[in-house]
Amino acid sequence: MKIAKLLADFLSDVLQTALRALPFPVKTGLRKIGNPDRQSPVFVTCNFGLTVRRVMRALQGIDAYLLVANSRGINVWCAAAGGHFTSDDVVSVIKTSGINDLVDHRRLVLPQLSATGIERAVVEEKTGWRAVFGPVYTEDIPAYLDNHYKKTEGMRTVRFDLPQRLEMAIMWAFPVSVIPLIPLLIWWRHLVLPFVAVVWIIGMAIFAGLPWIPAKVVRADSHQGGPSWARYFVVFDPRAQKALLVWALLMGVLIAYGRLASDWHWSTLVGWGLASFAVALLFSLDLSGSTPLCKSGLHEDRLLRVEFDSDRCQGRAICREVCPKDRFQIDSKLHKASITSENECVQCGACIVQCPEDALAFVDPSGRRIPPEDIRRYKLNLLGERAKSC
Amino acid sequence: MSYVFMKVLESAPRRYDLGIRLLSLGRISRVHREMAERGVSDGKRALDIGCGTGSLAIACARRGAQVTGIDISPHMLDIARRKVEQAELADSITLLQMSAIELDERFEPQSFDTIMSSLTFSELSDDEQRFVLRQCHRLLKDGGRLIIADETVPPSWPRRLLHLLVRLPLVALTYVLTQTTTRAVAHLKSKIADAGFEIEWASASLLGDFKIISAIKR
Repeated sequence: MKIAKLLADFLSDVLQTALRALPFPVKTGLRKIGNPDRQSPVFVTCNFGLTVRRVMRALQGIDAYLLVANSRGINVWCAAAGGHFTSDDVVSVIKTSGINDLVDHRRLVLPQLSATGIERAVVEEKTGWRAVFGPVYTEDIPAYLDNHYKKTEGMRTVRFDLPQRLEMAIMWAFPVSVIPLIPLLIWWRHLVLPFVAVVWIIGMAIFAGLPWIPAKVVRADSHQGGPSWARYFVVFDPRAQKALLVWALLMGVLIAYGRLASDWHWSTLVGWGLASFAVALLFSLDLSGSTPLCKSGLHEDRLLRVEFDSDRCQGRAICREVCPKDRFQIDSKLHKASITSENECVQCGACIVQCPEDALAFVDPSGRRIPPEDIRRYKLNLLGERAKSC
Repeated sequence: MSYVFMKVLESAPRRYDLGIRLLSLGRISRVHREMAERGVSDGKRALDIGCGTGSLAIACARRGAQVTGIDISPHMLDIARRKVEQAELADSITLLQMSAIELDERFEPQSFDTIMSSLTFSELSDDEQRFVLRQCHRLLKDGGRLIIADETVPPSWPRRLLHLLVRLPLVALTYVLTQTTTRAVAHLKSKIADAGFEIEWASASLLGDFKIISAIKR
């Protein structure tokens, strides 16, 4: 029985990693971890299957309650930013799960990345619970508890380490290699294996090699002023010399293999060259948006800037608690925040949504100010056409 | 017909009504009319949970009921407000922006003669459905009526399979457009009964993927 469950979990993990752009909803409600008692901590997460299983695994060894809220089967960050994981969903899981009767305290730990969609003030007002934003990564929760619910800088910053980069490569490589399989299997069956190999090798290479592509090339807002198509060619940007070198090397290997090892016609070589170019371009189109580190560069009119009104700021430091790029510094003597500009903003809006003084707002490239109430109401994916018309 | 497209429509509330009429092949207007005819008459107090753009609430008000419509989406309510004004029913319809989960705080017990809900339960989780049904029981007068219309999980395997085949392409398309999906309600009838209601009648579509259930508070 236990082996069957492990196997089912493993297969679900594989499937949901490959298709992680799709929602995989699991049952919402209360989960017990270990043997929780009336003082045990209460955590909230989304109901994306992969996330729930990972959270349960990461929390093994501590006694706690986990509230799985309805995020429509989407991961925490995407669901919160897209308006699918809201304050109401958290209020709902508190009221319908029966947690009120199980613990004596009223402290709720929300995932930090939900801060872009879940308003702490609303949850607190409607439930009487005190909500805090925990670490970005569940792996940090044991250390966070040991540290008396205080986050270190590392706990509140997003990372894009090799395993995460490879997961993102899989998310792209799987559909990109599977969808063309249908025509390939019908008409060009001999091309199936080489095509799949090309997609996966290029995808893995681009994401694995991301740290060696200069940041200024990946960053979406670095292309302003240049030709508008330039930002789609990240991997082929002349400033990304190492990427170009690898590309030249790959083409060299391709030509050498085609001409020397087997007897390819030049047209076959050109065909594969173009195919790999197309695949690399596809990965390159929104490379910045495929990382948790940068904002997406696909829509120039949605490159927003955070505006900070120092007069309103009371230095309550909630912005620092929720910023996944650690852009805020707090002067504890003056009770004022300030934005350190070295880290690029990912444009998640969490600081704006959470600021109790409404001291922060977005400003779009045309200079239009998008006030906090609009972001709280329409969330991020609605900042385009729909927000204007409503 | 599948209702996953609701999501596409919801994301663009202005097109919701036209879209849902087309997708249900006109069925939704009939469903709303039938619900109103069975549920309300002159002077009755009715609650519409998840009123969306207000079609059902308007159908009930036309029959002389005093309707309170609640919905979580402010955008949908904006449209509903406009439609209510056009129908000159502003005196008999009250629209409130609130979650169904707040029903326990916002209304007194025994406030309504009838409670209706169309295509809303499929948006709720299992726990939420049970919570809302318990609240419906609290808010209804004794002998009051609950009428729910929603997408439901077909009762037998062959029909479930057929339903899946019809639904899958729609789910995929909807997902591509809106990154969301709906889930058909399972065991709706027994959930309603569990909350203390007596099932009065029920009608199901051919595949069993859409049901209207009417129940009485005992």
